[in-house]
Amino acid sequence: MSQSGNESAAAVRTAALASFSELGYHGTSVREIARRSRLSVAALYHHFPSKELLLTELINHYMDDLLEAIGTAAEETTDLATKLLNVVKAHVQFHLERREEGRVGNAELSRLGPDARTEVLRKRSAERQLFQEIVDQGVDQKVFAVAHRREAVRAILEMSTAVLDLYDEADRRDPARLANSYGRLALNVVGYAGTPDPARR
Amino acid sequence: MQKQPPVESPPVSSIDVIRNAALSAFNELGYHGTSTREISKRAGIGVATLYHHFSSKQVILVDLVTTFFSGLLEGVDAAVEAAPDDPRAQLEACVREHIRFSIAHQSDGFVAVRDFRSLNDATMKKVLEQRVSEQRLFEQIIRRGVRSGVFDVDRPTDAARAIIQMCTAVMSWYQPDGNRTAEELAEIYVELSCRLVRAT
Repeated sequence: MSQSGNESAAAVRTAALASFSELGYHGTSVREIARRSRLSVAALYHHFPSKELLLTELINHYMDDLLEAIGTAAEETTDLATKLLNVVKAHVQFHLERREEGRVGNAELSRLGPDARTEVLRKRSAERQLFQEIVDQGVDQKVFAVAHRREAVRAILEMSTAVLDLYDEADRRDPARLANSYGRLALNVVGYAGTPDPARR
Repeated sequence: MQKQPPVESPPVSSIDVIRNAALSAFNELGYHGTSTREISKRAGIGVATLYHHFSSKQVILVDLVTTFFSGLLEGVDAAVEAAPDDPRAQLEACVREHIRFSIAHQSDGFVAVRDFRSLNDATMKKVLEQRVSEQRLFEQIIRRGVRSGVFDVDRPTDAARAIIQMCTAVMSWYQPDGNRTAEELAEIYVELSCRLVRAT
């Protein structure tokens, strides 16, 4: 694709995200995306043959970046507590930085066709699996102590995903602080008693 | 299919019929994807009748979302009132009620959480206040627990929010025919929440 072609495709992606976010997938017409990206409908169809393809690409792009962010965080250390802390921090920061995409992805997942949806669910399952392996290893090695391992992982994922839902101005200015705080809360959830929470109970 | 048993069923008002029709349409198509015509079709009434009860689609969403969050806040408030004067017992009661209420009103709650950004500014502000009130309630309990030494967290605000977030998300995945009852799930979340604040 030519330079201007790439630019147009990027403009279409930005326009589609803004429109899905504001009007919902159903409420967004191809014409509306074309209008926002200052392209003709024909030019838009040249880049993206359908509205569904745009949504599919948007969600996949988001999930790929998320998996990369938490994967990198997990590889930084072999210490399981630090690993969980880092992964939760990366997860929270990612969701704060990419709130709009996250919301659209969650709200509109059911609009994808069966194959595209399966692919996204596979990526979500890889995301959960990464957390689950850390927690399972931690419990096996008695670094963590939690009876309901699967529920604990789900709870940790949910609190660090829904962070995009309710948070205030102070957090907007300092996402790193919030990410660190949630990382420590996640360690509490899995019953980690060592540093960085030195006060053993 | 079995015939309805000849017992008296409570009268269903057209308002309820419209609410349920709107709920199912919002659930399936999203707020933006739902037209007033679609709601009236599902309700089996004319568009004119719908407009007689609700002047717009927005009014129905407002009704649905505020009813859900008011009910949740009232339920959690009452649960704290009824609990012993002890931070751990109160936190447990809050979490238990939050999960119970969310599952009992799962479809409303799902739409309320997902589509609340489609509310007009004034209503969104009101709903945010309701949600923040619930968070403050959790936060005050956690603060009292930290002061009396039964909880151990640095930032009660974050802990309160994290607990509410994990409990609220239950509505998006819980399946009534799955392997856990609402009560079992509530007890697991009570345990995880107590761990989160390092309760002793």
